[in-house]
Amino acid sequence: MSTTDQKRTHRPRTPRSPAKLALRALIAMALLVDAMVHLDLAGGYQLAAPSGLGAGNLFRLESVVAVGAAVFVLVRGNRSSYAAAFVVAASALSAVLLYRYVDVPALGPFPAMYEPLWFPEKTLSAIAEATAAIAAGAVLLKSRRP
Amino acid sequence: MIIKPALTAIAAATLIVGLSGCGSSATTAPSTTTAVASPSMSATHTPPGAATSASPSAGRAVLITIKDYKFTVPTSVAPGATVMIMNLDAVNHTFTSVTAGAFNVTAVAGATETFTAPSKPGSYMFKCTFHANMTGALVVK
Repeated sequence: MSTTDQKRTHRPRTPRSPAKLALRALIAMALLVDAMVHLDLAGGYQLAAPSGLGAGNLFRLESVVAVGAAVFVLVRGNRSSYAAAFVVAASALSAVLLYRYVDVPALGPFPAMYEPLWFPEKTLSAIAEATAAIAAGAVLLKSRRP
Repeated sequence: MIIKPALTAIAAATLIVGLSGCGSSATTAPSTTTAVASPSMSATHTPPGAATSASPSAGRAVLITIKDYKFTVPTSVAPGATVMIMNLDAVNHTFTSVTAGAFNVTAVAGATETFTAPSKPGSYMFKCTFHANMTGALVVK
């Protein structure tokens, strides 16, 4: 085995610094909170906005994707997993802000989901999404290749 | 010889117009359906855009509106009064008593529902079962 191969073998796949481990845990936890809130609200929202795919089914889809991204971050903790976490969290945050402030009509499979208010669960999921997006974005920026 | 295909075309066009006319009248015709779970009450549903028919009790009806996920409820309603719920939101809501069985009406987006208020005076806490943050109280006296 050459020296280069030995270095490659012993190089840790993911950084092990306490700060980075804490960030990984934070991102995963935030995504899981987001998933739980969406799953909890899905039943009612499906009945409230059943057209197209239905708001509840979109919530369930968001939950599944968020859990997947959280597991990806926990298991791999590489750039791809942080990128996935960032995309999932940022898109969910964009959607909740869009439907909070803009009366978007039903569009294809997406029902009208305008909801001009905040309530504890919704606020919690938005904070969780923002946390995950900011933390994942920060890790991505810091680990940017020269 | 040219007349025969022309007659056939006219007959086909008449048939198509006739069939489409039947379809549109069926979809726009006002319908009334029961939309309440409580056996002691009755409720009706008027689809969006359908004309509401006047009835002897229409002048005494009480109106509750739902807009931007908020209920606007009159100060009080008389026992057994006819209550109309107008949902101005783009999503469905419910008008459900916290105490099971008092009233439970599904307010379809853009439609107006009608139900009969409880006959027993009191303050009835209600909620939207789809949106747990939507709550209020209906005073019957």
